[in-house]
Amino acid sequence: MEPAKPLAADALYRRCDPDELSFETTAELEDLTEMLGQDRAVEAIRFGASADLDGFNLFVLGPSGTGKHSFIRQYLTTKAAAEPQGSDWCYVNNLDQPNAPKAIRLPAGKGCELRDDLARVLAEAHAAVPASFESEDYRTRRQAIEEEFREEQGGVLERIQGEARARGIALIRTPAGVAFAPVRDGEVLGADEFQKLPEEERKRIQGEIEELERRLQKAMRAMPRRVRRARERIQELDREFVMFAVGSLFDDVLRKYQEFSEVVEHLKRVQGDIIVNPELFVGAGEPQAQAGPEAQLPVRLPGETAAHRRYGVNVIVDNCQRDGAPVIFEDHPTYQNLVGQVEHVAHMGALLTDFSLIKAGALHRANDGYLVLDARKVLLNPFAWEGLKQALKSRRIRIESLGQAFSLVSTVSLEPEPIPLKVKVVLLGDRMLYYLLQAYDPEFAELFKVAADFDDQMARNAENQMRFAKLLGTLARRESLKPLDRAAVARVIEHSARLAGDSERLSARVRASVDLVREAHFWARNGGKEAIGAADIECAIEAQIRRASRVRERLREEVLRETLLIDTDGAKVGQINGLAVYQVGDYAFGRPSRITARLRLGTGRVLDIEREVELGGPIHSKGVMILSSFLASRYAADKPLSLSASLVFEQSYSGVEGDSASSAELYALISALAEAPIDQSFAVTGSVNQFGEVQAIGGVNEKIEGFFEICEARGLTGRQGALIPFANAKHLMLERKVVDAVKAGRFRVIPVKTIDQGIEVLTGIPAGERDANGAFPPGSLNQRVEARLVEFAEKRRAFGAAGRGENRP
Amino acid sequence: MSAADEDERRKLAAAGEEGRADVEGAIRRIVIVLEGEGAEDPTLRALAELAASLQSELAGLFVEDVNLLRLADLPFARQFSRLTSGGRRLAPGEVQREMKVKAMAAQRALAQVAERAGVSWSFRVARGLVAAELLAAAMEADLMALCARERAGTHRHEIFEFVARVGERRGAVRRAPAPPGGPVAVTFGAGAGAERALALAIRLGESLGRGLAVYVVAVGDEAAAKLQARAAAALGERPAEFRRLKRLDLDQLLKAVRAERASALVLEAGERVLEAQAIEALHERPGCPVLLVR
Repeated sequence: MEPAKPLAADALYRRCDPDELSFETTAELEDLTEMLGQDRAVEAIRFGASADLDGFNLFVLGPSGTGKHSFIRQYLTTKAAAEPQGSDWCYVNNLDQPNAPKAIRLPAGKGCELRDDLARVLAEAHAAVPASFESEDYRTRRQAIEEEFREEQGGVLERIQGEARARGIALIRTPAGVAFAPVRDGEVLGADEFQKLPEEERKRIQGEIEELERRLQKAMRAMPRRVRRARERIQELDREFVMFAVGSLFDDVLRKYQEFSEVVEHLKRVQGDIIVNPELFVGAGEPQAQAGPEAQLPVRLPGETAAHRRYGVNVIVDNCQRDGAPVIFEDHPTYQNLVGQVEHVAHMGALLTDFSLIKAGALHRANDGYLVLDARKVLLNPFAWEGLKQALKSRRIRIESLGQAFSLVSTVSLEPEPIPLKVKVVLLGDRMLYYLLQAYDPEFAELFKVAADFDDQMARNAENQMRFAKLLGTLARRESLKPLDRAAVARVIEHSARLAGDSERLSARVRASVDLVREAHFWARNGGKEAIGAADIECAIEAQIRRASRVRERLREEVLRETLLIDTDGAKVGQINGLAVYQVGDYAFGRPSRITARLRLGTGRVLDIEREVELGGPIHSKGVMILSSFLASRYAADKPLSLSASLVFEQSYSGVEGDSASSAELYALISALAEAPIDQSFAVTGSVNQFGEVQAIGGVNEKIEGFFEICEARGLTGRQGALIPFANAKHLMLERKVVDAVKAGRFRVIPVKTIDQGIEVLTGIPAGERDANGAFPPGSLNQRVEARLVEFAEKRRAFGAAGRGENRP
Repeated sequence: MSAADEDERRKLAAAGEEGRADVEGAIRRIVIVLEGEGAEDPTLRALAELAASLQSELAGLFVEDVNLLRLADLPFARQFSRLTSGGRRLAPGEVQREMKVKAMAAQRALAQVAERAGVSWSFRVARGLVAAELLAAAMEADLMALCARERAGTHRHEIFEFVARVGERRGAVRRAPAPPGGPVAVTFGAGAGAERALALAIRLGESLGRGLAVYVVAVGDEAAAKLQARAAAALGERPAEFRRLKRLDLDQLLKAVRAERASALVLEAGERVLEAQAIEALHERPGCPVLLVR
């Protein structure tokens, strides 16, 4: 086994050499038009957006800040511009069934044209219809009909009245009707006078009155029929004149829209309806006079006529201003905003509506194009997800209120004709959401067959570094920032690698880099510079760290004040410095934690105190179990493991998760077993497997820096350092001060592959390997551990025998 | 235009002005013959506005027709509904109660419109023969308005409109566009009160928003031309249509007024009018309110 060696300073930070960048400032670079480091996702988007197949909608997943939204916007806008325009959609009154408005599809721009053309026809009809009614011709013919009726009706009545008068009887109007009475000299005979008449006379009068009454009744009963007949003739007359007035108005419009059968059908229906409802065009501007046919909304907008309310065109989708297919980004995807809604107006305490109050949703606007939605917002808005799926499944947009959709209300409302839907929906969301939907919503996989997975990282190579530089230049130009000089670009690239936690990769979360450049622009501008330099980037990084460092500073102070106990020199048995990472918002930092191990005779159980008090997570517990297994299999394969050990993270009051401390815990246990003190100048990180191999962990940079700053504050001794898994060496992108300290020989970073390598560094005692007889070299650490375990086993055996009385005299 | 013509025109204009001033000064009391109209009745409202502009008092008159009271006492008296044509026996006292109800409604309506227009008002109920009571009232009034909307049950036009309205309400008959309201008709004869009647008709026309139809009453063409010139001078710039009557034949006049669906008829209350038969005809037949000006 080779002993572990400290890393050289240049292995701790992979620089980006500005000389490798072939430009002076980013102003020289052309714009980056493609997506940086997301080839797989871009390919998926290109396929998904172009695949004209059922259910091939897109779910674009990945962490925030990777530029998903910007790319989708740019890509779809460019793609859609070359595609055919979307159709216009209109709703019109269904004159046969007013609660089911009809949908009409027209080429882009024609919807508004139709609306304006019909409005013009109606405006002209408002002049033409009353004019025709006021014409001499109409009035004469109408009066002729009325006069004929009067003569016919009056003739009957006058004959009765004349005959009555001839018989000395008058027809008298009473407060509630009419009656016959005998008269003399224009006055009705009183009852006394009548009684004085001879009986024969009285009987004659009574008989005549009865006969007159019968004739009067007969004549009056025939009146409604006569009136109806006269009315019908007047209606016929009205129709003739209205037909004449509006017929020519419709001819031009019908000719213009002759290729659109739905429009022609509707126009003809409107024409027919106007003929039977001419009152809609008489007395415009007088609401009382406009009370029209049923289903007429009594509330109108200023300047709106009853005819317009009935015959107007509600253009819900107007694509006349749009070049190419629509691309709709709906930022507030409520159910109504997606599938549209029918609005109401309050009138006399009731809510009323008609076809003109139908409002389009995002699906309508995006029809024949693309709809981009934030998946999380869709899922958070009640029923929006169900509404979206329903529309995509049925490929129709049915506007109905939630009450209707879920049968919660049974009031009569509008049921607009559903509109055929042909749209490509693009959902943007994080990975967790995508996998949850995949797992729990069976319809999701059917409707969103294409996943575009945006990566967190990309390879750090010359090509990507150059593209990264172009990206920075593009953003600087787009946001009117100062250009970056190449040293600044190099520093941003280095910072990106640090954000990726890998010296060989760059972070794909470009938003963080962009924010850094924005902030650096501020410093460069304050410094009066022409371009952003490396110093400005450095300044921005430091400022970002400083702003986020309150918790980190506080913990560091408490360590230095020895409130939190961390030794950075000396040696102790069963005590080691572990390393943990704390995440506060976007900011992560590391700090050492004291881990201790205590032993006693027992049954082979390693007690994880964190787990016992439920402060340890499952992965941490797994790590402890693995190290227990390692101990038992390496040192007590042929005898019982007769110890009881306890492990604890000292002064830890919140949860511990992850297995990155398992190697440190194992070192502490070995130290306790071998009674070999561990040098407290070291801090350790790394997980361990059952064969004693040290495995990679996350946050290696933050962990090293967390221990370094404690050591630095107390004074670097040159002995201090951090043990890291060998596999993490490539991830190192340490702060400059750490690198400088290593370069000066005042700090060490030592990668280890195995526990044996690590324990040698920590204790200064050789670990020792088994010889041909299977024994460890005498005095070696492993031999001491094994001997101690044998001792424990013997004691346990003796203790057990004593318990059974075997050694009793 | 010659100097003589100009002189004549000036005289005529002066006469017109005199007529207008005469109306404002002379009409202190307007008698309105009521039959239970509502306060929203346009004629009633127009008359109230007229009274306000003339600073006159409104005097409502409701006539309890003794003929109806007598009719109710007859043993065989039956009343027929104008709507259903159903007949039923008149109960004793029923007619009197109905007339009382109508009188009260008329009084309420008069009070409302008068108070709204800010004019003083009075109301009385007279019992007697309608023609005699109207004649008596006309003899005393500066201006008498017969504003009944519904005339005798046998009135042909009224029945037509009445049944048609019922039809509309039931939805059986659609409402057809009605021709616009007709003009205010006024007779213009050689009498001293002609200008006054014309001035009143002008005011009424303005209040109702209607035009004027002037019926020039003259036997000869020359006289008619002179009268028309007088009327034109009184009208000033106001548009009006002229008609010709050779004599004040009420039958002929009422027929013409009905034919053009006049909104109101204004008459100078001369000898031919102030007769019981004429008053009765004016009350029963024109189909529009009648204003008798003394």
